[in-house]
Amino acid sequence: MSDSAVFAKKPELALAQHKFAALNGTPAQRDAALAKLVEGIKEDSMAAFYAKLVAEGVLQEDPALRQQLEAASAAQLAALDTKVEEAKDEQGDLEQNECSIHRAVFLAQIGDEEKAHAAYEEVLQRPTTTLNQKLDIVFGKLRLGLFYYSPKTIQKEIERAHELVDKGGDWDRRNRLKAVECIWHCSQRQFKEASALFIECLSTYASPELMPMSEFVCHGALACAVVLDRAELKKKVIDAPEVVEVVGAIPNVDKMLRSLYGCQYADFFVALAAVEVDHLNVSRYLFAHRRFYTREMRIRSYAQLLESYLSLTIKSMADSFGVTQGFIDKELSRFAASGRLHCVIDKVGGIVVTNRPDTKNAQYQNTIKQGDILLNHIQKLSGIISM
Amino acid sequence: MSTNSAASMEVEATLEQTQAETRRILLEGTWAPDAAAGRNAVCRHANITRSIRFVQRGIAAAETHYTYRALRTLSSLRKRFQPDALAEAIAAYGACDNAPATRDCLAGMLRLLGLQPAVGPRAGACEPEVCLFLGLLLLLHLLDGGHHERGVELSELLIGLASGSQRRTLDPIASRIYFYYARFFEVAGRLSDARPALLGALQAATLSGMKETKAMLLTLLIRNYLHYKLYDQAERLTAKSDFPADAPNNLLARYLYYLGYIEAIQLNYSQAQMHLLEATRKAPSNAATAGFQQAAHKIYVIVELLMGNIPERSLFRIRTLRKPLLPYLELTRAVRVGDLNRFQDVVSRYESKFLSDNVLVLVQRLRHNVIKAGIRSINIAYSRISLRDICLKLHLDSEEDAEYIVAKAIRDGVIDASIDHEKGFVRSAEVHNVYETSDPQYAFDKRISFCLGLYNDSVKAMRYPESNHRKELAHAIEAIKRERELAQELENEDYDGDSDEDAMDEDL
Repeated sequence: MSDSAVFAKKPELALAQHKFAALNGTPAQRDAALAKLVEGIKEDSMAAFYAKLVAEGVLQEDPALRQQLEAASAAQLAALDTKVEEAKDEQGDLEQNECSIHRAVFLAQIGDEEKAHAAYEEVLQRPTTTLNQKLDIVFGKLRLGLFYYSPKTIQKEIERAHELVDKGGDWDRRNRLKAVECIWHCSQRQFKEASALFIECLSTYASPELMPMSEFVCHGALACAVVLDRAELKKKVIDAPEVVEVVGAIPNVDKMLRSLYGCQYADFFVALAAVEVDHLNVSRYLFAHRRFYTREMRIRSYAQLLESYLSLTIKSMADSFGVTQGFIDKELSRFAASGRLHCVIDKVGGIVVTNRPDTKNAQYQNTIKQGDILLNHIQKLSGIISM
Repeated sequence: MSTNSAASMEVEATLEQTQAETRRILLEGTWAPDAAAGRNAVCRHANITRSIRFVQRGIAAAETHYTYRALRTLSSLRKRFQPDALAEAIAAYGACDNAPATRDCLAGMLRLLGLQPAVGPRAGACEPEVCLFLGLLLLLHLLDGGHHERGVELSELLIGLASGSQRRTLDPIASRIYFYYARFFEVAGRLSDARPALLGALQAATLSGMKETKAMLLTLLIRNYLHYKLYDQAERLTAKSDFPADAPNNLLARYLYYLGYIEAIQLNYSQAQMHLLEATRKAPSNAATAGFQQAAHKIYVIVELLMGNIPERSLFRIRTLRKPLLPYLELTRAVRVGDLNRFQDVVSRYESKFLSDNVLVLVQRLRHNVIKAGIRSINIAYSRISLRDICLKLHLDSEEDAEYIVAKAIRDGVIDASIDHEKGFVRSAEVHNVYETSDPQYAFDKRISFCLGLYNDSVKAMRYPESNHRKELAHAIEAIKRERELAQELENEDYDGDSDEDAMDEDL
């Protein structure tokens, strides 16, 4: 059996997504998600995961199902254990390692976090594992971390994977690592890094076990939308062939990007709302950042509109966005007061005036701000002087 | 059994290896693995002796950093304290011809330990510093054990000795003794009784030029006054006395914190903000100082809010500050939004917390600021806005109210605007080009002078590296000896054999 077949496709990440939808989705989504969850558990005989779900109150306790799962998983585990024993006696190192890896993968499949990690570590520490096997193990651990969403595990494994890949991983694994890292950065609100990685690995995406292509493009495109400027957004994302390919599955994201590019702000708002409902509220990676995300996109659209005007009436601005004047007034005052938008509102005259600071002033403000941070650090160093 | 103690000895060895470089110097690396408890005491006694030798070296060389080194070992000695080790040390130094005050002091210490004077090797004359150092160690032990009354007694004894002599080298040790003196009184609940002694000591310290003691006493007195809420007296003390500028950073940080607190109470917010910011910067931000940083930041946040600035969000994200500052974060949010109801809600919810932090008085002053902050943010976002709209935004009762409040804000300098009464709107004055004013000049000047000051201080604080010096010295002494030998041989023209002199210089 070749190395590459032991890809550690388990635990099935889609099930984690279903669990999330069951907890946070609309009632309709919840039922669908629960059904799929139970199905997936049965298929993979995930006894430990089932136990955890019952403990968290997501699923109802079903003793028959539980027994069935436990029996199935125990049987398979026993079979794998005997294989490991045989390999130890008869076959060489490579086969031994593979059998142990299979065993660890099975433990991960049933969702038993601690045992799986321990089993993975054990094989990892053996001096006979090849670099590729080590990489696969690290990916397996990464998957486990993603499944149960433990940030420390994920961070550690990503770093380890980087080290191993630098030592001599092949391109396939390198790309997989990039894809995982892109998603990880998205979930940590590091959209800049995520967008950079997304553009790199977009053309070579081959990790169906992580998530389907359309979902990946969705996450990546959303990350890029916040960070990239208009020209780059068009070239790299809107017109990218892979994105065009999956546009059918994610129409709202596409509409949002195109309307932002085409300055059709009313459509943009509608699409943004749809994106929030369809994608942000549902994806377990982006859920925590939905308010941040919508706020940032709104600021981008306002800034884009105001860029071309010295002054414009509040009424026309409200009309182009398809909202009431009061709403625009509230939003603009909030963002202008915090310094995100460079404009001032003349409420009496009903106009908005842009006041972009010229470079000298902007540089001055920047210098003072960053200089103060630096001085703060230096002053901390000065603590050693007294003695 | 012996393996158990061997294991524990090894654990101790590794523990010590991870301590600071000072401790490594103090340790003898040649412990035999068959350790018994007595051996531990002997080794601790040896460590105490080493620390005392540092102190004596400091006295001899009149350099403070030896004393500081010895004092730094205190924290580790405190953890591994054993009464009999101390008794041995006292016996060693006590059984010789000291000044009567010192002798009484040492005898008193033994009494408080509850031990008989042990018989041990003499170690030479006992300077007051050494006596005070041992006394300090005992004070720490009593504080850890919770024997407050005994601690009060001992500390009174020790400051009697300290105030008796006027040696400059006593400075660092004496300052710490005063700290624990005040601390014992505080935990025993009789803080006001400590005041007369502290005031007398402050006078003496100022006259004899003992800077560190003076700094410490000033902070202790201010703390004393603040404990009893005597803000006027505290303020007068800070105004009349001048805090030595070259005091160690931890004292400076404390002093600035208290100063900032007093100024905040007395409505002097800009000064308070400056001092509190300095205090947070002077104190190191590690695990041991976390409590201080939290306290200083709490008051800093309130003062910023009182001045009308919103403290940065990143301030609340610092790991050690996140939980303690949570009520203050809520407060900041309420003030920033300008919503009076929300503010009231937050205050009532966290009232007990604010009370325990002694900031309730300041928080209640924030009410006016909620409205002021609201006006400020309106002023930034709007170039012209009608009074009616201000009224609506801030949930005020009438346009007249709004006009009065805005007028007061302009008068206080919170915003830069003008009211057009007939047409009923407020127009903000805009400053687009800050380079038209002389603000940049002042801002840059402040920062440049800070950097230059820092540079000058670092240059002044440089010292020669010690070990190199010693090595050089050893080599020089060897070279001189060899030359002398050679010269003698040449003179005598006969070979006397090797000289018996030990060319190795002892480490201490």
